[in-house]
Amino acid sequence: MSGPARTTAPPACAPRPGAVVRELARWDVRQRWRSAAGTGAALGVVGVMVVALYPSVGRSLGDLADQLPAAVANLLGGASTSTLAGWVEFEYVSILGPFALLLLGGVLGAGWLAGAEEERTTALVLATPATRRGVVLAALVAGVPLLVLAAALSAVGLLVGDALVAEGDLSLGGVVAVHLQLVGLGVLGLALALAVGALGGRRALALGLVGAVGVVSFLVDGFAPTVDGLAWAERLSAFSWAVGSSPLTGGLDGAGLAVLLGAAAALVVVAVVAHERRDLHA
Amino acid sequence: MVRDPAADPAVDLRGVTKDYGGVGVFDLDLRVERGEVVGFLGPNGAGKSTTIRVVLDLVRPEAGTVRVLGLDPRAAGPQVRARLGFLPSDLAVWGRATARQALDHLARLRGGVDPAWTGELCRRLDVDLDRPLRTLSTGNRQKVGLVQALAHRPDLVVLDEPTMGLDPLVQQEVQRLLRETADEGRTVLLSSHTLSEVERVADRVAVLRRGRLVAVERVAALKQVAVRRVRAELDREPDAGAFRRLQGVRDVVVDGRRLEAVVEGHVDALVKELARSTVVSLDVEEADLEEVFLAMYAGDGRAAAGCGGGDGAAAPGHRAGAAR
Repeated sequence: MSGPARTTAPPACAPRPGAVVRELARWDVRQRWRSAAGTGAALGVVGVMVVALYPSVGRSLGDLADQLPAAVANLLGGASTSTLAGWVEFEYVSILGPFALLLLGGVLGAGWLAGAEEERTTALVLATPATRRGVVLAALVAGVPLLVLAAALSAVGLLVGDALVAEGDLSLGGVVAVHLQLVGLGVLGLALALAVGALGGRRALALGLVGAVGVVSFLVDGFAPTVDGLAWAERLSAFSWAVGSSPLTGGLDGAGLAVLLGAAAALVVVAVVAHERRDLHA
Repeated sequence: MVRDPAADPAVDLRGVTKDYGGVGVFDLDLRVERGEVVGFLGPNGAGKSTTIRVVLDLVRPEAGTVRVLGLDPRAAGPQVRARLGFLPSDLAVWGRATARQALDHLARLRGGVDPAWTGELCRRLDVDLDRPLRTLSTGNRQKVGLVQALAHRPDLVVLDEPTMGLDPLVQQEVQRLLRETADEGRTVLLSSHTLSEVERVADRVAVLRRGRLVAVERVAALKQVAVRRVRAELDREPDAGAFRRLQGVRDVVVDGRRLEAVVEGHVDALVKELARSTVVSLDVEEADLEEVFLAMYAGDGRAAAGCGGGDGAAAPGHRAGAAR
């Protein structure tokens, strides 16, 4: 040992907790914006194609689709394909959009908590003044704008497609409403992945559960209304709360969005508490 | 009376137990004073990483108390960690981030990082700042990890296998940096399973075995009892019996004018006996702490008798087999 023991005070310029969360979120966005932009761009391209196919394929399928059994039609969105809005709901809003945003939220949430623990970057971050709670909140702060980015690109795709086919059938308000609902669903996926990741520290488990919620929600949303005595189960479907009210034509479903965000908030609380208490592997 | 936080030990673990089904640490007492460099030694699975995780508050012990820089790392986490630097055994990789981006990110999380000092560290360790971390070799990633652990001049530096993958010249620079850190009154706790790494920089060595502390010794004291192998060539055939009678000398082998022997502790008596003849050549191997610790591990978990003259007085609070 050499040298005197120095008086050691906390660094005068240690960042405030809010600044730490902002830096964590900024870093998270920097790490994952490509995933969100890629998902959104892919959705946008598919959206253009779906709308563009309406005059040649969708309209001609209209009669056929209208003759589908109720259960099958309901599974595919329950909309009539005799209009462009119905076709988009049938092809895009009821299946593709919800799955994409839910899974994007799951990928982001699973990566930022369980993934970081598996990759052992958690230990590096938590050797700084960052707190465990701050890490969870930063994931939320970073995740929402990335989900909005993906949804915005998806919305642009639908609107560009609508302009291309000159049908003028898709309202801007309806497209925005759909994508706000989808962002709500994505936030639910994000929060669920954060909670599962915080509880177990395993990315595959977190992402797998989000995927399972998506599949079950899709099936329940499609079949429950058509099975006697099971109509109540529709309320258990996240897809139902997100797009069950046909927001493309019916506008924003405030109650559905509130349920999604409320469930997400509860899951974030679970994530914070679990992350605060659990032994971290790295 | 107001307590002076600078008087508290840098690390003070008392009765810490973290049981992972028979693996972990058990009833561990460890006290590291300010300004010390303490080497934390043990084979894989001895509990080194668990102890470091307890210090970092990544895992919470089932029993015992933990104080880091005088504070509870769980209750006062950000205050503790603002003054702590940590190097994991293999620096994790953030996607496409370059070393510069990762260092900037960690500096912003900590605040108060002097860019000039960071630049000086990068220069001394020859860090490549502009390549993605994932494309760097283990040694080059390790250098980035060392820079981030030291850049904010922390009061306590915790290093897990700090010279792993580094070439010898960089290892020497790291050892100089760690000595400078201690000379400034800051504390270094480094874990290793390589004794040679620890003995070059540490003031004291703490040895873990199966989650229990078996010895805490000053490196200088260990060197005094350490085992050396001596090889000499004389101008005439040596008297093997005369060497065998010397205290601390064993395994004497004479082959013509050549003599080989193992010496425990000082080599003074052997050298004086050799000097009765003309010494043509003499080779004394560097003190090998490994043999001392292997002797410890071969026993029942208590330190070898030769290590008993440890520094219990200099390091109060240590409970470590014969060192106590």
